Amino acid sequence: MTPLITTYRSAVTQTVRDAVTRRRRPRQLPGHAVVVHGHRISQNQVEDYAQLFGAVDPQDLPSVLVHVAAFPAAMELMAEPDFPLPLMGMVHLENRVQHHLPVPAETDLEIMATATDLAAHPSGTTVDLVVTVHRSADEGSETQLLWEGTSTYLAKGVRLQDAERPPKAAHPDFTPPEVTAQWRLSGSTGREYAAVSGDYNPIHLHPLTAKALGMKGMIAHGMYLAGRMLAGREPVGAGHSWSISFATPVVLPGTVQVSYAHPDAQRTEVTGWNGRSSKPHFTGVLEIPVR
Amino acid sequence: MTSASSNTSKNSPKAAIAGGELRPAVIVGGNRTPFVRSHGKYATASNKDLLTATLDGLVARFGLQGEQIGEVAAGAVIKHSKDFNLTREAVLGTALDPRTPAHEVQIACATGMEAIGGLANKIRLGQLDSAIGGGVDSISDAPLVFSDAARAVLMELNRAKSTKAKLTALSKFRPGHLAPQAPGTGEPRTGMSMGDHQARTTLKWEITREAQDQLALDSHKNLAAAYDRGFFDDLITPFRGVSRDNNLRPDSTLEKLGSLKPAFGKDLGEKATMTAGNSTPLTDGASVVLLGSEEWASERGLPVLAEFVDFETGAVDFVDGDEGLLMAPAYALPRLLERQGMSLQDFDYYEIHEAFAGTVLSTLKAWEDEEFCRTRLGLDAPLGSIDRAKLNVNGSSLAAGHPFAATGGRIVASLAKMLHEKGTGSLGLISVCAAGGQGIVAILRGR
Repeated sequence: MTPLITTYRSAVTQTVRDAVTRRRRPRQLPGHAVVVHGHRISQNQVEDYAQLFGAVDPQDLPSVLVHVAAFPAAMELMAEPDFPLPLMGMVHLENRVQHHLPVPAETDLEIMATATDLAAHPSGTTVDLVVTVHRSADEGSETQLLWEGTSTYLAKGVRLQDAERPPKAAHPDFTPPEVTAQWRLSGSTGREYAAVSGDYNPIHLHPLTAKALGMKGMIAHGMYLAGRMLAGREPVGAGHSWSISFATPVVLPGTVQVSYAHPDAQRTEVTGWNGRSSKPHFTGVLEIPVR
Repeated sequence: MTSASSNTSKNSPKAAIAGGELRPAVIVGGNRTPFVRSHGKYATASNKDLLTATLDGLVARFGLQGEQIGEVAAGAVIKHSKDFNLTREAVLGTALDPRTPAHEVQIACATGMEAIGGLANKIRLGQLDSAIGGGVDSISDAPLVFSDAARAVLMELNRAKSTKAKLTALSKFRPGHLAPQAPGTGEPRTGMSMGDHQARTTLKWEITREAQDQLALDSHKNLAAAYDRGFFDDLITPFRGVSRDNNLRPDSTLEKLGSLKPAFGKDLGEKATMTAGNSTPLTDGASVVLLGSEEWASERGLPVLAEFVDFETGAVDFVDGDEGLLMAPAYALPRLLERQGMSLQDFDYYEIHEAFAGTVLSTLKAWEDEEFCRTRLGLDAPLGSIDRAKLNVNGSSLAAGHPFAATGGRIVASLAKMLHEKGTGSLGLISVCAAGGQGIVAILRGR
């Protein structure tokens, strides 16, 4: 099979071409799925990830590493000619993951990506990319669902055909909770995570390339923040679920004020914000069932 | 073949570890260097230099030249990997008998307390007749390390056998890899500095700026007065031309302290109260304490200042803010008091390590707080307040400085002397907080 990283690269070039010509009044999503058979998460990738986020059990990989390995299937779907939204400039709004069972490295995995829920948004159109990871069937066992993740993306300025533009939701006032951690992110954070994830979007790599694409400066990957949020906190044996939604980008280098709160025994609520401007960067939730 | 019991002299009672009675562990005396603000007069002194000199000062004070001590235990919080056997190497550089065994201890800022407490227990059990415990720290001598990325390349180079493999490894080296990483005082799990952690606790306990500055001022005044009446004459040996703790500001005033800008918890804005004046500076120094059984001390005609009664270690879940980073001693104390059948008000002196003025005041307020004592400590009634005139009466870390592992030895030696002066049976309480959400409390009884 084609390595996913190659798919990802061709997806990006495809996107550059399509971004210009693609229809701007989308109606419907591709009905089919992108399926990758027998994908393996390599030991090298595990080690690279561990360099960034700390020790990893190769038999029970972190959720964000599974996302990194599986999400190129969704990229491929988005890069297809009939995909109704332009990939370039899409804004990552939210991620929701159910991590049912441990995902091991060096094991055949079935990855499937579909697109659903094309929806009008005050600033454009959103779409959900759903990626599932199954353990491949072998003699005596059927495929088994290990992990499923939904990523919500916003195509800014793209209007759904025949859809009313929903009113802008009022921004609720953000009052920073009590800080319990600080993440000091260096200027190389984006490049380091790009090397691990294969996501070399220029907005994460250098202040100049980021500014050229309309950003205030180079910004942290959303999934890097998710990886940091979960580092050392995922339960042994999986069975957990988590979500993260992004508010304002984290400009690199920078310090993120972080709060971890535990409203009940199985729920951890995480907030990241800018200490100077008191603007929220992200909010997240980790649910670990009490066994 | 003779039985093992033939090793024991017929006159001496059976050791507690072998079924005999526990015996007291007594404090003979102590020695320390003056504590010096980092990157100053001790900038070129290593941890080993400081510890060796401090041990030799103790040897000279108590005539221990050529003496084989039962065991020496000391540690450093920040140290080089080359100092893997720091304490033993220091002992080998002293006038002590080279057959004196030594080991290292590390529990952050409570290192000295753990070293001394562990040795006291061995003496009480009859495993040791004499011991020296203490600690050393030098921020000026702190190791700089390569980043993980650079280290990975260098380790690969080290493993490479062929020239080609070596070149492959070297080709991965980048100029940025040369930038060393200095050790920080941040908590690894939160990325927050100790001061920023304490700033939350200080705010939570509503400790005012004025109260913190007053505590800092008292610390300087008390330490200066102790120097003036010669209290430290037999507790300190000058080192590198320094004879007094050089962080001491005898002429400090509330006005001067009040003029300083906040140094920690700056994101709290107007609620930030912790300054460089009411927080301890980074400091270099070493301290040691000589302990023994009563018999060992009396055979040599050595003084007996106090008995090391007991100690207790605590830890709190600080990572997500369930409790303040430096509040562990507040939790350890009720267990120690209950075990010893004592109350917080039974003591003649209280030595609460001044990591920050806010730490001392938060801890005292917590012990006075009915709800905290009930819900957090599981007590029916609050531990209550203490007579503040008995607190840190000869100054503490805000004035003296705080070379992390050396603070325990400073406090134990000073308190033992104070209790000896106060009289037989007087009681002293020690509380030392530590990084990682830990802390140690201990009880000394005067002789």
